[in-house]
Amino acid sequence: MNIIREYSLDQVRKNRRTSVSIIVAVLIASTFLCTLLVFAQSFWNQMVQQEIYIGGDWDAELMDVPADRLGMVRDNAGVKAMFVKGDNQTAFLPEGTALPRLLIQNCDIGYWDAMYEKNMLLRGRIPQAPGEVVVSKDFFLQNPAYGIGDTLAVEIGGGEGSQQKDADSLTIVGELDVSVSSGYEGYLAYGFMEPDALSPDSEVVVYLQMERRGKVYTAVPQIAQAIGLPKDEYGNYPCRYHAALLAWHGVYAPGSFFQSDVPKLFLGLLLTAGASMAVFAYIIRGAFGISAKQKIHQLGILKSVGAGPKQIGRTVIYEACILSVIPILLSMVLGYLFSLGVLSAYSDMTSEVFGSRMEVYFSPAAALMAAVLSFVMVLLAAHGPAKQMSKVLPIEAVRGEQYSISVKKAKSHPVLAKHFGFLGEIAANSVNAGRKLYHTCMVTLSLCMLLAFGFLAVFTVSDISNAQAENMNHFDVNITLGTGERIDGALLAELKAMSGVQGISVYARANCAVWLSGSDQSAEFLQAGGFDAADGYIVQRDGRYRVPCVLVGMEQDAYGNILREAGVRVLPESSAIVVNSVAKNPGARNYEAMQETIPYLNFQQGQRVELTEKYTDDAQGDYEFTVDVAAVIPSMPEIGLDPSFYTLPVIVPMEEYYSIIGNFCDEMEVYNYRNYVNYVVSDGMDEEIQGEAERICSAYLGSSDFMTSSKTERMRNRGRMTGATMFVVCSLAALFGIVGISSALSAILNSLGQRRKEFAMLRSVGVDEKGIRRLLGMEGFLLSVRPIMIGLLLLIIVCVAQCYMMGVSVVEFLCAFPVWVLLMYIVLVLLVINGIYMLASKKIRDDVIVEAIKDDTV
Amino acid sequence: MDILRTEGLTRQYGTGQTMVTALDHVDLQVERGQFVAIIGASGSGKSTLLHLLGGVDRPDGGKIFVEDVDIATFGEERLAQYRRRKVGLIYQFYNLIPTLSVKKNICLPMLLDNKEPGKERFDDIVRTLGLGDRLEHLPGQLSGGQQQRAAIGRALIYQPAILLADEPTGNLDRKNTEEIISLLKLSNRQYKQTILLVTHDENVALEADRIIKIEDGKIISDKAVRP
Repeated sequence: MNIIREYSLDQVRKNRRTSVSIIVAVLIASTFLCTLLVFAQSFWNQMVQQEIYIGGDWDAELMDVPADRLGMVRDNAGVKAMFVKGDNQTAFLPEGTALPRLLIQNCDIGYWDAMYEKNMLLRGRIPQAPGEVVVSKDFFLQNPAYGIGDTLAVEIGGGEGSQQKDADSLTIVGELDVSVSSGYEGYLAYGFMEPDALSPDSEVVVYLQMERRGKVYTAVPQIAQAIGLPKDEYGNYPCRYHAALLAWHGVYAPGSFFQSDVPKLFLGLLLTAGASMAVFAYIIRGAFGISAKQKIHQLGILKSVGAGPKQIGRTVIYEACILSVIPILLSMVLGYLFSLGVLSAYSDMTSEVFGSRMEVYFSPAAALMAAVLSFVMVLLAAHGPAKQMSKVLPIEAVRGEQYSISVKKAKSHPVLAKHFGFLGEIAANSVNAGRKLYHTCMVTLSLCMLLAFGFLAVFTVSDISNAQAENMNHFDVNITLGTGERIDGALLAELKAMSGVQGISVYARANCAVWLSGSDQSAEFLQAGGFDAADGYIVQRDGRYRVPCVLVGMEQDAYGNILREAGVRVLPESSAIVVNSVAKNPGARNYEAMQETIPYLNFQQGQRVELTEKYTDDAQGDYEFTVDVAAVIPSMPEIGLDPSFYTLPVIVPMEEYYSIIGNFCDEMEVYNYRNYVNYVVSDGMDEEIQGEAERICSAYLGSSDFMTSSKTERMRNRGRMTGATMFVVCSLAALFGIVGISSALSAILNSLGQRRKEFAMLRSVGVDEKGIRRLLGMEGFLLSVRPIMIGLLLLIIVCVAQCYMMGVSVVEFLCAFPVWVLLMYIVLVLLVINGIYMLASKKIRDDVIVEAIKDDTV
Repeated sequence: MDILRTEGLTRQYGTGQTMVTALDHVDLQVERGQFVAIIGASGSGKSTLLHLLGGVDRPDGGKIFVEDVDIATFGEERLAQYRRRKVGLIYQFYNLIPTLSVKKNICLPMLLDNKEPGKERFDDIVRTLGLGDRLEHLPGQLSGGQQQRAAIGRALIYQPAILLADEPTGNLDRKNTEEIISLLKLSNRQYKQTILLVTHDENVALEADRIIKIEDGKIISDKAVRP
């Protein structure tokens, strides 16, 4: 074996104390990195699975595909799998059912396997053969005589416009948690189809999984072209992409990379991993530094007999390699187990909030990446000491003088001297002299404190701010209804008629924009900076400004009330109310200051305003419409809608709203059919009302078509989320704490080892064991005070910055921040460091004085 | 013929008011095969001179010619090679690597060059040093005299042109001192090695061909004891 390798291996075996210290540091650091990757991969997997669960496992969708072209699609080399839905049928039900028909969508076996509808199955099974159907839950609610397994004698109508009816029978095999508007006078059902059995002229929707997902945005239009699909008025083929799922796989539509949140999350992960690697490399570097300094004398001997700088450097690198193999391998297991524990606990705390648990996922590729990153981190950590050792002069190294603890300049410590005599001064000077040695442990303990309590401060401030916002929220219960079509009037009527409600608002909203000139700005707004100060919100082009608007649809009675309050007695046939207010201080941090408004525009009653669906350059539709201003009101009516900065609310009656959005592009039309229902209820009743609203909604809608929340539920969920996130953060901070304590132990042992002579000398002049203990206790105290002070200082900066940014006062913050936990942490650090000192000093106290004083270096 | 020559060799430690000049413009010539003793009081600069000649310390000024090449201009790698192959350095406290066997300690300069010593030469040195039965021991298992002999073996293994010994007998009893000096003289005669020996002991110094006295970093006398 090469002598340098042999020497390094021998050193690892002989210097067990430093080896263990390095192993612990590498183990914890690698475990941290591994945990980070497990968290990232589990989160990624969760997002992908969630997307597949709610949206299906497909990459692209081709619409209106003639059945005779399906073979061409299936045989395309770029297509991995194809699923088919379509051949829709109307089945006329027998006499006696509440609604007269079933609206059946047929799906092939691949579709049932890959798509989300199977997840909505409440009872029974999915159809496995033609003639089997699963029906929506309202069918069973309204027709309790029927059950799963029943066969329905129906008459099947053909596609749209077809009058022909054929007698057939359908077997109900399951119940689906879906619904359709009562306007259709039928129940939604899903059946089974064999694509090969379709008539050649029928049109179906095809879902594709691609061989090379990355090529989906170029390959799918080519497939559409190859099978002869026509383009729409925008020049696009009738295809759609599963953009959310594709984004999680790193595939983006041209130009949409920077708009997606996934690259930002990935960048965040990279930065976190990079920062963690840098911090841990620094921490481990301290451990390698201590090890290298401990054998500086031997390295000096090696140098003096001819070892070159590279060979000396290699002793540190070899040591790093030898000592990192086992902890890195072990960290894979520990990281997984740690993540499993933390994420399981996290899921327990948040599963009610999210409605699902996070599964821990760790692939071999991620394990390999964690191992490589850990190894790179170890090499980075060892590089510094290796370079340092290779540069040191042989004779200085042999004497060990470069790294001996020595005081270059004594400082006076009058307070310590007064209360603790010369021992106090010695303690202060020793901690000062050994500060390089204690650097790592100080940084680590400070970081541990900053990480745990910094996050706690962020959550505390965020909680205060959320509570403030919640207090300003007029409504106690909020419901969102979104079926992709106009909400059933019966459902809205039932929700509006609910007892125990003190106030209600119902509205729908759609984003749009208006192009204005500079002269449209009000004098007050101009004085506050005008459009030009709203960079990022208002786009200027050719001297005109695109002002974002929100088109709000309100029910006729509520709309009429607003008009009446505005002094308009006769309701115009087609009219709109413009809310002419804008934030006076958009940059304000304080919640109250942010609410202060001034007149926005010079709009007048009777003015005609032309709006456009294209509220951003990326918005697909470009439908333009006009509204006549019936009234200009100074503030937004209390309906539970808080428009963003510089957004102009334009309120129209609901019927007019629907007629406008009916002309929007398909995607936005579907989205804008959402209705929002908000309730004011008496104190303590919000969850009861929420439960009742949920029951009503469930009777009309599938569970994915509505969402309810209440103040109490939100507060409870915020508490759960804060607790769960703090648990994760504190678990990670605990890893820092373990490394900090390990490095403190190593640094203290090393420091005391180097100062054996000093302690022997003190004992030789009469300092007794009590005095030595007192001296060491003082050193321990001074050593722990530094990271606490540094951590506290950084924590105060974080807290002040947070309070400043969120407009929270210091008193409010101090009332909410758990100061006692911080005090407990401080006491714990003091106890641990002093405990280490007392344990580590046993050898010093037991030393034979004359042997320790002997000097034999060169 | 000079094997070693210094011109204006200067070494200072510390800065500002605490600066100490350990060697002050020292000019020295040593002929090949000479056995030179360097004496002086503690802190006179004799060990500093030896360390500079051995390439384990760097001068602040002046030149050190070894076989007409100025080692003060060497980079780290070349200087390491010089320490491995051209000089053998012996310290007062032996400075053996405690985790390596005596055999590996002796062979260390060659092993660092990825070489093995010739068996004949190795056996010859071990026999001369009387360490034949201690080769697999660790330094900690040897007496002080044996450890110093192992250190001498390490200095001799590459057959360096110059042997530099810094108080090699300072930590030994009279009997071991005599044995070590005999070994050095034998090496000087047998392998024609140039030896520079730093010592406090006048009796030891008198064993040399030439005695140089240093005081306050300057050579104050340079006498030939025997031709």
